[in-house]
Amino acid sequence: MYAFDQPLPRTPPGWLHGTPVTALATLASLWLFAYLSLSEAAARVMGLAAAHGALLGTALAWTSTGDQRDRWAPIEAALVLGAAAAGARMHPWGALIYLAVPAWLASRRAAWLGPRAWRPAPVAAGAVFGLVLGGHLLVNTSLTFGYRVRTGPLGELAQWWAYDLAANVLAAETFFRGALFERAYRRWAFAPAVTLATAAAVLRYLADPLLPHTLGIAAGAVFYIALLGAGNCWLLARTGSISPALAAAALFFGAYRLLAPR
Amino acid sequence: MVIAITLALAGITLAVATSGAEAASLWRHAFHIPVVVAALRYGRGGVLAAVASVLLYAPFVLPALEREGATRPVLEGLLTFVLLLGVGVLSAALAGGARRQRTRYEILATVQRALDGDTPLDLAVARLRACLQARLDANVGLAVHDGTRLAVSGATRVARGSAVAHVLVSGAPLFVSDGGRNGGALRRCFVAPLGGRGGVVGALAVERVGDFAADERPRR
Repeated sequence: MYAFDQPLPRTPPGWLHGTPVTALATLASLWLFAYLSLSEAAARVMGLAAAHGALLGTALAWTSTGDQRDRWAPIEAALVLGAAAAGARMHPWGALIYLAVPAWLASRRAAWLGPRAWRPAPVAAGAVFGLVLGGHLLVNTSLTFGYRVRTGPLGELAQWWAYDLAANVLAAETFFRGALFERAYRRWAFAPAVTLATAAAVLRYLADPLLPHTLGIAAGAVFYIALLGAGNCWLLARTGSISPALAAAALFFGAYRLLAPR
Repeated sequence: MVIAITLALAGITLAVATSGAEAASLWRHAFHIPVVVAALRYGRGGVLAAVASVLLYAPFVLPALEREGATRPVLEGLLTFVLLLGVGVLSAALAGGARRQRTRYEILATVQRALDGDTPLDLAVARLRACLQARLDANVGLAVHDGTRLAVSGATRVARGSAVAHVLVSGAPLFVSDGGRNGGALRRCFVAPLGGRGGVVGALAVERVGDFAADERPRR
């Protein structure tokens, strides 16, 4: 039994322990510079790389086991994401560079994306959850006046899916579930931990400039992101792995990209 | 029971759809019944039933919000989401608390029977552990001072620096929220001192993969 055999764990470090402050400040400065002095397209690429790189890098740094390189993970992540985002803007096939992001992350954190992380049963459970939520979204949307379900153009959809898989989903799940929820859950009970992680994820999506800021869309975003976030926290708490959450979020956002204004 | 709850949810959804009132349908309030029944029968199943109710009712509310804006029926529909989830969580928590209270009375009676008569300490400790483990849905260990030695059940020894050793020395209860992961899920444990006339006579350790409710933890 743990209570008889194992030494007492040390007091957990503070909430912001391991935050890569210097790297985050550097990213913020670079983004500000790009916003003030570069073209809108370049500033958008820089903004995407900085925002997702900050989430992905902070997740790595918060879950670090002591590797000094993790302090600079936000910069590394932003460089890979920036190359992918720029490639996607410059050429229709450029979105393929997004594949470099999960490859880079798998090399940095095998426990998240390595072959051992993909146990079939939990990943299948996550996939079913994502499909149910995505299917529900499509049914809901088919009842609205302003949105419809589309099946093309395939090139554009593929670009969005590449962005979701490698940037949006990866950054959100690693940070909000793999780092923030994990940090809270090791201190608190499930209910407050899931509330914190889900509220933070909802705020992140409401602040996203890519989300149309209308009342209907905002309500829908809160509804689905809260359900997806809470469900993914439960999957992580049960399995100890973020791969089911990644599967769920990837399939949900895959369905979300099928929506288009009428 | 699962089939009955599922059929009830489906029937209520059909009633909302055929009522023609969409988000404003009075049938929406009927979703509370399967939610409460699921909570009473399965505890946390009430939360699942509440989420299912919200998902089934949402296609009447969210599209109406997009089409008509924040009208009164739509706002009432959104409020119903909150109420259903709140009722699901609260009912599940109350049902869980009642179940734990019932278990406590059962434990008291069983402990009395286990320790009845002139039982040797090692046997009494083993019996006590068996009866607690069967009812607490957790891994239980006991260590009790017997003169200069410790009678231990549930483990082979008390390691130096362990949670049990800490409680035996300090006499204060201890809750460990992060006992590492066991087969994927997080392990938590609490250790409560066993008091006697001469001070701390032993310690009880309860370990579980998952959460302990607030009323299950020892108070300082």
